[in-house]
Amino acid sequence: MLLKPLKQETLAPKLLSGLTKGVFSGRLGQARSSLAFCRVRGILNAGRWVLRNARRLGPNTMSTTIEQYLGDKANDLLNFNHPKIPKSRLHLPGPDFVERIFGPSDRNNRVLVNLERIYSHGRLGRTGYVSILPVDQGIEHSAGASFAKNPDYFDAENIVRLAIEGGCNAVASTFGALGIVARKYAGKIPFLVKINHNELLTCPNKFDQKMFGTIKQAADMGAAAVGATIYFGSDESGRQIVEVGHGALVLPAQPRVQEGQGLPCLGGPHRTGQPPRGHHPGGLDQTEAPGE
Amino acid sequence: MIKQKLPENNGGYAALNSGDASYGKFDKRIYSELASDHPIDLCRYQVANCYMGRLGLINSGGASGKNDMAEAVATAVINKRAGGTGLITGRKAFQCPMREGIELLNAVQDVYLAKEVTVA
Repeated sequence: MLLKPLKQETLAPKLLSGLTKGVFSGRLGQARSSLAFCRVRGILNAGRWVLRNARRLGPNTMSTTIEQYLGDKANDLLNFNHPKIPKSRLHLPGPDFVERIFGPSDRNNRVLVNLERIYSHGRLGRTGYVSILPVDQGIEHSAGASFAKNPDYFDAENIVRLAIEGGCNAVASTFGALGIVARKYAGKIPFLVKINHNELLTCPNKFDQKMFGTIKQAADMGAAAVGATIYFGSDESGRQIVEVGHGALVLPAQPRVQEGQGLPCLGGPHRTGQPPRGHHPGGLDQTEAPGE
Repeated sequence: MIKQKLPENNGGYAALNSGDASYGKFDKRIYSELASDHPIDLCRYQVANCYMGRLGLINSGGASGKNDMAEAVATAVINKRAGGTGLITGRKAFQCPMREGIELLNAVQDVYLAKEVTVA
């Protein structure tokens, strides 16, 4: 794991404040001077303890780093505990998620197998959580717009390598980017093929998601899932909903992809109302394993 | 699985149903009893709309900017504490040297691995 190296100077204050508080509350009956003494002694002891245990403080290290990244928002985000909808109403992620949630569903066995592939892979494997690297390029928008900051990623292999070395559950990209390295990598990390895209080469720009391939093509390259976007609220959302709902229609020559290729679908609405001109609208993307 | 951006605005239904205007189907309790303005509540409302979590909600990371690591970690904390399933992080991870991209992906994953970051 590529954890941040432990920084004692950043770790110590949190532990110290916690331990000092403990010392204080345990000595409340004593005189003020002895309280002060205990406090000093507590700090010293805590400091020694930190130094002694520095190497095996993984979780504390992580949480301290998270707090540091959150900065001013740390308390608000980490301690918020009165949600309007209680968590007892939710189906929460866990190692048994696929079996618990999709076991009773209508998803076929190939879909379940592919879902398990995604949920089992990477640093978050078998936690019920997923981390996915997505990269759009090509007709969606030019590669240069995405990769000017790091031209390494013009080469699609480096996208897949980043997902693998970054410990992701899956890599999501286009038919072109994933297909060109599929035989080498489809067995090394689950592929999630984005099957529809906006097309930003036309001037003025359009905001419409069109199918660029079929679920069968995705299954044939060994993908574990397909992804699709719907711009809810756009003029074309009705057609997009039908296309995605049918599990990938429609390059004209291929009237309707057979269902049951066994790929889950990840999808999402970009829910923005009418997409604003001149800027990429947020959408909802749906990912499901093919076969749904 | 469903992917959405974290909510940025709130109150859209109320705004579109103000005065004589009518939009969709609207119940005021959406904003009073089912969600607040807190980002974790807003994300939980997304989770609730995924059949109360049966379909995993993953949030997207947004464009690359100056505070990518902090923003990505915050998004992960909000998603996890709301009951979400993870993050799909692109531009923040690939619009930088690969080593930094790996660190960012790992930092996001650490949020989900950290037992102290609980579901609210």
